[in-house]
Amino acid sequence: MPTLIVVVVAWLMLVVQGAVGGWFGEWLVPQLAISVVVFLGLERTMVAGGVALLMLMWPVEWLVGGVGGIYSLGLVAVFFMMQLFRGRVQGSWGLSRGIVAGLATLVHSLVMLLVLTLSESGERVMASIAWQMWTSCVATALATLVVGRVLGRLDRLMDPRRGRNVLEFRS
Amino acid sequence: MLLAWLEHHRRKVVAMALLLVPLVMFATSAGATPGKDVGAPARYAAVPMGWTQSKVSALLGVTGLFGGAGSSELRDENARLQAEVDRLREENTRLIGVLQENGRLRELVGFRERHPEYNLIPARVIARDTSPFFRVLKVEISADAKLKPRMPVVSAQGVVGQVHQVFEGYADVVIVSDPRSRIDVVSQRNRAQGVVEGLGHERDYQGRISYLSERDEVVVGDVMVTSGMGGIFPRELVVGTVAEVQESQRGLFQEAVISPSVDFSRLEEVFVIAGAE
Repeated sequence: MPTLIVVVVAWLMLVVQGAVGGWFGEWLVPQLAISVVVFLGLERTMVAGGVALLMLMWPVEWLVGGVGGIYSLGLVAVFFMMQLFRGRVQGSWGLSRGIVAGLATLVHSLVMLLVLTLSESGERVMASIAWQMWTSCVATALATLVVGRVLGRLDRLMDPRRGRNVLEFRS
Repeated sequence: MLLAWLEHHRRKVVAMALLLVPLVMFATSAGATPGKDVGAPARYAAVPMGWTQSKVSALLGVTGLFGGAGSSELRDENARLQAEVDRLREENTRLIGVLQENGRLRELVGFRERHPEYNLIPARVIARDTSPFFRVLKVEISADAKLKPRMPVVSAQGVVGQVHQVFEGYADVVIVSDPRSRIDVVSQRNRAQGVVEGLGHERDYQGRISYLSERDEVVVGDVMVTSGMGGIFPRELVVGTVAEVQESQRGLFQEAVISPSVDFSRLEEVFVIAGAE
């Protein structure tokens, strides 16, 4: 699937989550931005995934409405971490990828906490992150399995040979 | 030459850009303090997202869940009756929505009549933030409304929060329970002073009242209103009700948990106080 379409689909998912997010309360919030970055990190190269992440960065910041930049910095850390895992975890969107997504969510929160600790003491913001990261890690892990399957299905629809060895007859 | 160099080092270039962009965002942000002017590109870049969220919330807000019900494999008569039931149900749902909206608007008009001194700008809630750490509402405003960061936002039930960032036709509102929010309050009963701070966690939308003097008597059920100190919120706007009084953790002060008077999960229309006469 071309990078631009991945970006548009991810953008739509995030925008719709913002619009209907109030239905599910503020306690158990899956972070779809992390799910998308886990997909990009595991399924795309550094360049293709990195460009998609760069294109999504500002929309994500706008949708989060948090302390500018730190959410994106966390996403970059997750992306780099996923690049290390690329090709080393289960191929389908199953349990192991869910666990990886949960870990990625914790890493994302820890990076945010680290940046806040080094830059300015937003004590209550930090308490909020430290409190919510645990439930969010579970919610995001589950959401990642869905997001990964949806994006993976779109990948296969647009590029059926992706990730498979296919014999070709060449003239 | 440059293109060839970029092509050769594209991985490093992308990695550097990934690290630099968030750092630039962070350096140019207001940090953990709400209220910040945004530049012209950012103001307009928010329009497509705000427009999509506005359409999605309008679609799903009132009739979206019930609009598509129907039957397919019943006999003709049954199908006709079912279609009639569906139509009436849909109409009923829409009318209930209209009545509820009417009620809310009446409350808002009532608020406006009770406070003629304020210059109130109406806004419609279209979305919420997508992270569990912050409590931000996205509101749609008319394009000619002149909003500024830190302007107070209220509803008929009381204080909602304050404007954080303003975009073209949209604005971010940091609500009372966001961890960046701080509002000076007094008890309506005995004028005990404190500061309501958002928790951003624990039971969804609750906040904490800090810096309440040990000598002041605060009991569950006390209504806390804005004190007018700080110059952002006008006096006597209801913020919430004391839900729990806790033992002091800071020696001189006691703390309390406050339940905001506004039900943020059902909030659809708000007013921004753009000034007072």
